[in-house]
Amino acid sequence: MSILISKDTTFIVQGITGREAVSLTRENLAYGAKIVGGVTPGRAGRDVYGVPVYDCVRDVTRKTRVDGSVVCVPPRFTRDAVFEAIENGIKLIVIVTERIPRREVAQMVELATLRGARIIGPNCLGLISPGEAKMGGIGGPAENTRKAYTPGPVGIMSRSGGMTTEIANTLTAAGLGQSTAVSIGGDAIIGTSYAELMPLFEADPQTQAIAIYSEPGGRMEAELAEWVTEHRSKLPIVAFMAGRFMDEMPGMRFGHAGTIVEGKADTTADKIERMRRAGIAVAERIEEIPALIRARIAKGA
Amino acid sequence: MTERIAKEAISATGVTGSALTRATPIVAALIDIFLRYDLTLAEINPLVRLEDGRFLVLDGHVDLEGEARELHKELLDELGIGPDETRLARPPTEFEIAGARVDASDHRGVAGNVTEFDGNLGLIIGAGGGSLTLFDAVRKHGGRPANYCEIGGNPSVKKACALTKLVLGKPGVEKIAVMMNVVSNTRVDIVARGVIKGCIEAGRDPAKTIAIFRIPGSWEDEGFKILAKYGIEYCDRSVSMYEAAGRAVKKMA
Repeated sequence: MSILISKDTTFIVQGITGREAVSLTRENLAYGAKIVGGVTPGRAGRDVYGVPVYDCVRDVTRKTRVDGSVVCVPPRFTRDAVFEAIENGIKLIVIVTERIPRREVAQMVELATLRGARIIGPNCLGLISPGEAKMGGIGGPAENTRKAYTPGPVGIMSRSGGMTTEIANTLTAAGLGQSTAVSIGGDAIIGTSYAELMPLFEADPQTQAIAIYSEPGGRMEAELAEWVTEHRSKLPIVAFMAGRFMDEMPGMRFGHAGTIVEGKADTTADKIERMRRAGIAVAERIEEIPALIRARIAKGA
Repeated sequence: MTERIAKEAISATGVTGSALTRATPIVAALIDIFLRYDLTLAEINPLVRLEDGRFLVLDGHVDLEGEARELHKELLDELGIGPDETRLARPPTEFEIAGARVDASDHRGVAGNVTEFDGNLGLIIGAGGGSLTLFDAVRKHGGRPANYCEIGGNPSVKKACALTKLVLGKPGVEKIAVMMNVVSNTRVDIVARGVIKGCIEAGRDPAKTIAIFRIPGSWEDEGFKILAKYGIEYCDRSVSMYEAAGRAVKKMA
């Protein structure tokens, strides 16, 4: 098992003829993804690595089951593309695009909630269930992806796409595989937060522990801590917190759009304290994560 | 809809009577402005009440979201706000402006978000999360970074070269450390070519100038071959980001 995607997940790529989308399509196919179509207005009839291109999402959804969409269109067309996917019944939407104004992101998340769809991102690399399939640029070319990701018991959630792979690679080197790794996105408003993914990981029999990568800014870590406390969650969580130097530099933005210290709750010190109080282990270095996870899995067993 | 939201918000603070009905349109207008102009902050402070019951806005403050600047170009022009004016804590330094110029020089990848510090170890690091992690690691080892930056999304040789030259041109920079997390989309060989070219064009020996090169991932074999040819110390994914940062800092002693 895994969460959100498996080898049977069918999906489309919106904006499939763009440069990044073309290589993403190639890499996903090579990793075993079932891409059933691509959408670029005015390009119907072409194909990208054998994937047929259509003008509209409904041209695909009318023909076949479509579980998900990877949205890879320029910022000013993204909201429309996401609305189109949602209104055609697609339930899992991965938004790769960055630099979308947050008002538009809020509108997309609102519509997704109304229609029972889930958004991952924006500004993310997507998700992967190792050995099954991946959606998005996560891990890069298939052979690189296989080097870093292996199937196993650890779920990953990360505000950084690159660090998702770094953590998976560290776990793999230590003999710990992953159930599903999700690059949740680096913006101030995102479709799915740590706390919103927790029930899915809890319900997944394969997942025995969680590794998270976090940064300054926002309330997501506090919400995760609250969720864990409120639900008396037994799933061990090990977090890594980057950007500690930013605590001394309020008002400066580093890393991602949502990564800025504006108040005390944005600092790494505050987040670390909240997470530790909720029983979440916080690693000082990435390489400490595997041992911390092993110890916690052993303790629970 | 915003009138109702404003009314409910004000009422929740215990305000009633004519004060409620008079303050409601003011707060509603504030909400409208917040939404219409993609603000991250819209503040009236202070709001005063005159003896006759009227409200007066004495001062206000708004922050526009960076990502929405394109949508409000005309307004920004009208207000005389240039692209260099950000809402960050301090205005950008000359070094940072030059970094932004490097990043804008072509559309391929990112070699930007340069922030100036006063140390002696130049950093060519990436990507978003990797840079935060590596900057912390350098400091934890007692290193003094000359700059923060982010590369990613497969920048061109030209861009990586220009960024390297910029960092090496900063007074007091003795060496640079080139480090990233395991990369997916960025090509290791292209970054390697770029930083080596940058060292040479700056008149420095790449082997002595690059303290460590730690970028594992796509096209790493090709990249490592080039680095070996120039005698540059590099490491693969078996060396952690933290350890790589430590090796670089050690060479600064």
